[in-house]
Order: sequence, then structure tokens, then C-alpha cells
Amino acid sequence: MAFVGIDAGAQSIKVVILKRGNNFFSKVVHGKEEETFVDGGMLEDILKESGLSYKEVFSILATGVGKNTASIADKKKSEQICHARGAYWIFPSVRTVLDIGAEGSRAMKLGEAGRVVDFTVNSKCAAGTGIFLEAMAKIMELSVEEMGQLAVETAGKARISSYCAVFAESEVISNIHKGIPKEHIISGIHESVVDRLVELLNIVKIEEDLVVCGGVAKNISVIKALEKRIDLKVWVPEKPEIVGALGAALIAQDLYQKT
Amino acid sequence: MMNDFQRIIENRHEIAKEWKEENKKGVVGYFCCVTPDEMIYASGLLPVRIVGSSEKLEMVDDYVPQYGCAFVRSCLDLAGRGIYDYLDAVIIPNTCDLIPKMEYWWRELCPRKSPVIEGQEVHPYVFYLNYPEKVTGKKVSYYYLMQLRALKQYLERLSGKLISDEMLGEAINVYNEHYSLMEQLDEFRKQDPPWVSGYEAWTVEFASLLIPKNEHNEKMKKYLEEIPKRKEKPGEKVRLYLSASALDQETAELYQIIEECGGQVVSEDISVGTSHYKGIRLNMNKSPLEAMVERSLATPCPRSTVSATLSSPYPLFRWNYVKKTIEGLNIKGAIFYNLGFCECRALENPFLKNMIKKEFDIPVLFLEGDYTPEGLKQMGGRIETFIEMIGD
Repeated sequence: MAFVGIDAGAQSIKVVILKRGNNFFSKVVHGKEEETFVDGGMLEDILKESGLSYKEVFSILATGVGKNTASIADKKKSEQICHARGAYWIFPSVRTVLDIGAEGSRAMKLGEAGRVVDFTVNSKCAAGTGIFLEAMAKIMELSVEEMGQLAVETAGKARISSYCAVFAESEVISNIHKGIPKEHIISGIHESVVDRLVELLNIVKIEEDLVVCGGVAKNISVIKALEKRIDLKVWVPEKPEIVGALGAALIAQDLYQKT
Repeated sequence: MMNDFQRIIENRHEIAKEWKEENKKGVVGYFCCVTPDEMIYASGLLPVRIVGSSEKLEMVDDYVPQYGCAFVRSCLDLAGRGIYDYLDAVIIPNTCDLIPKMEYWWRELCPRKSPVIEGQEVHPYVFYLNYPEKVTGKKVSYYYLMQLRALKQYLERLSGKLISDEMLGEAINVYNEHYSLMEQLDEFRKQDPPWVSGYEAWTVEFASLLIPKNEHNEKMKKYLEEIPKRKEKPGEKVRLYLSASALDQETAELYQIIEECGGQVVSEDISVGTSHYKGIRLNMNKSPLEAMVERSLATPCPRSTVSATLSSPYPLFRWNYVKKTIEGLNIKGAIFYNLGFCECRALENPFLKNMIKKEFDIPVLFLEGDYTPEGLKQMGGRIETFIEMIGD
């Protein structure tokens, strides 16, 4: 008996296979490969890798911005509900979940038994998302990971005041021309992301414990800046990018058990 | 019959032009639910609600900045492009922030010549209705009565005949019948599951703002008879309340998005919709003009303020109205769709949200629209989560 959760994100597809006894197998597929997967071609390979076959799958639930393209899924749920479910499974004490994905950020408030009681998402622009960080990394001629490492021990920071990624780019370039140290500029970029995230958290009103998931949660510098700003310990799962897919697999299991 | 209402909405400009041609009478465009359209009807002219379009804007950027209300910008753009050229007059009431400024924007974009005596236009194309900011208080009714007398004179000059009390009384009867028919439709929506979808009900009401009310009443009577004979209902869905500014044919897709996500709007507070009939009756025991004053001033428009009371620092008239439209309907959640830069609604939303949570213990979702179909579609994810959250 197995349940599959698929989080079809803007930049990658995350798959979690929930096996007997709550053991799970996860796989992240980046780039163009995802196209074949959403059509159903790749799932069998992933199942084989996990030691299972298609016949053992009882239910497949898709989430993420591309969930409607996952024709192999028999159920669909929104990103907010799936991330909340995944975070609650990993940290049962969680009351606030912040998911920072490539294209969207969202904050969820959890009530009893991990039920979502309130939520909010970022507005239409890229501010406070992974794509914003990627655009900035490109200007800095670094990878997002390198940016995270470089800024982590830096005390000083440049001010990046623009919401808009395009205007923020010109602010970064202007700071480079002024000779401001790279680390300080990167710190400023992370601070700008944190500004947007705090706006989301304030809407749902933070309650401890706070769990941060999504690909950007792997950026230590962003997490540290967030902790400093809200003066709270932030909990980050070991594999923050698969929390949505894990939640999807768990919901698939919940729904199957209900029927 | 449903398709008939839809057809009216889709062909609203052609229908108004045909009516004008056939009846050899004028068509009067107006903004806002506070405008006494029953008086326009009484004059024999055709009142039509002016609405916008999601077509690309061509003319308006020189007049209203991009951060102005998208609905207002769109209406003006249509005026400038000649889409509303068939209107013989336009009534602009003093309502929210931008609508009153329409008086000169509309004249500028749609210039018309009018007879002038000693520097005064005898019959301006655009009539400014000075609706009071504060709608309660001793002197307000008298002041507004004088405004409606001026409007009556304006319509008399436009139609070329006096509007008698009998004509006003007859219009009141037709409008009261409309309110009663709409209430009958609401009864079908109160059922669980409802007999008609929120979108369908909105279509019926919106069509009434585009054709003569007596014709609409006749169509509605037949329509109401058909509903109980239906074999299928819209089905079990999460019952929702919708509060929205300027929800017209461009943005009413919101109802359909909600329905696709598993929700059903069973009650609402909408400027281009329920505000034109909900809880309204023209008082037959007063003089016709006084009845119109009373009805117009009692319109629960979020732009209005009322006299302060000792019981609450915040005006409760809007909350009392919202409360009435939610209670007893087994509503599980409320959605507030606010058009970007609509301060009137944006400012009251936090208060209403808190009151709804306190009184009904249901979640509230806020959405900010930009008056584009793309913007609406993007809201689908949030609506889906909201409905899943309630249904869990």
C-alpha cells in the first residue's frame, strides 16, 4: 500500500511516496524533466527507485501551481492545505507555517489537529519569493546557495528598498558601483525578502511554533534574518522543499482511510 | 428564460439603442445604487446603469491616473471611445472618491452642446446629483428633497413633459413589485441546497438595471414560476457570503470561479446588484418624492457616513446591514472582493471582518481585484484553499 504526493511547483516537481509504516521516499525533479513526469512517464521510474510498483499505489494527490497538469493524479488539493499538513506531520507543535517557494510565498495559521484556520499568499509580484533571490544572484554573479553562505556571518547590510524585482536589480547594481561589499549587498537582499515574509506572517498573526518550508528555507541567511526580525526560533525541516508533496501524500492517505 | 437575462447583459448597448429607436424617447445613464432610477423610469425615459469593460484602455490615462479606480477608468474610457454615445443624459451622484469627478471628466471626454442662457447651461448633458455625505440628521432629508426636485425638473426638460405625482406613484408600484420579486428569488437561494446559483441570481438582477423595470418584472414572473419545476439544483456546495465593489459583467465571473472551487454564494452585498433591491421598499404612505428621498438615503452604501451614536464609535449601519444579509442562511464563510483603490470598502473591511468572526464565527477571505479577467483567475487558488479550509 502506497500513497503518492506530487507538488508540481514553478521550477521543480517534488514527489513523495508514503510507504507502509509511514516510511517515505522523496525525489525532486528539476527543469525540463518535469514535463515528461507530469504526463505520467516518470512516476514508474521513481516508484521503481523506491522499491515499489504502480500496482501498489492506492492514491495519487497533486498540489502546486501545476497541479492541474498532473493528469495521473486522482485528487488535487491547494498548496496551502498540503504544506500545512506536511509541516504538521513533521512538527506536531506547529501553529504557523511559512512556505517560501519559487514563485509564491504563503503563510498558514493552524488550529486544532493541524487544521488551517487562516492563510494568506503573496501578491502578484515576485517580491519575497525564490525567483526574486535568483534574479538578484544573477546580478551578483553567484548561485543562490553561495549568496546564502556569504551573507550568513555578515553584520553590515546595504539597503534594498524596492518591492519590484526589476527596481531592486538597479538598486543592487548601484550598490555594486558604489563599492559596497558583496556580503552587505546580499544581506540587504535577504532583508528585503524577509520584509515581504513578515508582512505575510503579520496578516495571519504568528503563533509558536513557526515552521518555514519551501526551497528558500534552505538559505540559512534568510532564515537567520527572519529569526532576528521576529525574535523567534524558526523550525526548518531537513528537506524543506518536499513538505508540500509530503502533505499531499498524507492527505491522499487520510482521504483513502476515510472512505 | 435564464438565457434571456444573459442575452440582455451581453447585448445591453444594442438593446438600449433599439429601445430608443422604437420608443422615440431618451436613454439616461447613471452611476451608483443611490441614484433614484425610479424617477427616470417615471419620466418615461430609460434608466441604464453605466458599467465598464475589460477591453484595453485607450483614452483615459490623460484624465485618471493608473492608481485610480479601474472601474471608473474603464467607464470613462468607454465614454471617450463613443460606446455610450447613445445616452441622452448622464447622472453623476456624489458618492465615492472618483465618481463625483466624473461630472467634468465625462463632459471633457464626451462633449455635447447645450442651450446657454446668461452663461448657464439650460440643459447640461451631465447632471450632478449632490447626494449628501452624511445620510442621517434633521436637515439632510430636506436638503436632499431639494436635490431630487432639481433632478425632476432636469428630467422634465429632457423628456419634454411634466412628471406628475401619479407618474411617480406608478413608477413606485413597478419598483416595489421588482423588490418583491427579487426577494422571492432570494427565498429560492435560502434553501439548502439552493434552487438557483449565485451567478444566476446576479444575472437576473443585473439585467433589471438595463431594461425597463416593468418589462423585467414580467420576465421575472415567468422565470420564478419555472424555478420549482426544475429537475436539478446547483448541488451541495459550501455556502458563502460575498461582499464586492463594482461587480459587473466583467467581474461576475468571480461567482463562477467560486462555484468551480466548490462554493456557492447564497447572499451578498454588491454595489451593482443587491444594493439595488435588498431590504428596499418605497414608502407608499409618503409623497412620492419623499419616498424616493427615504429610499435613496437608506441605501447601505459603504461611502456614506451616519450621525454618531453613543453606543458605538464606529458607524454600525453597514454592519447591521451585513449582519442581516448573513444571519439564518447557514453561511460557512465570507469572501470580500475589493476592487483595487476602492477605499470606501477597503476602510470598512477590517471592522466588518472582526464583526463577522465575532458574531458568526466563520472565516473571512479578502481578495483584491484589478478589474481584469486574468486577475480574477489568479484568485482561484486562494478561493480553492479557502473552500477546502472550510470543508475540512
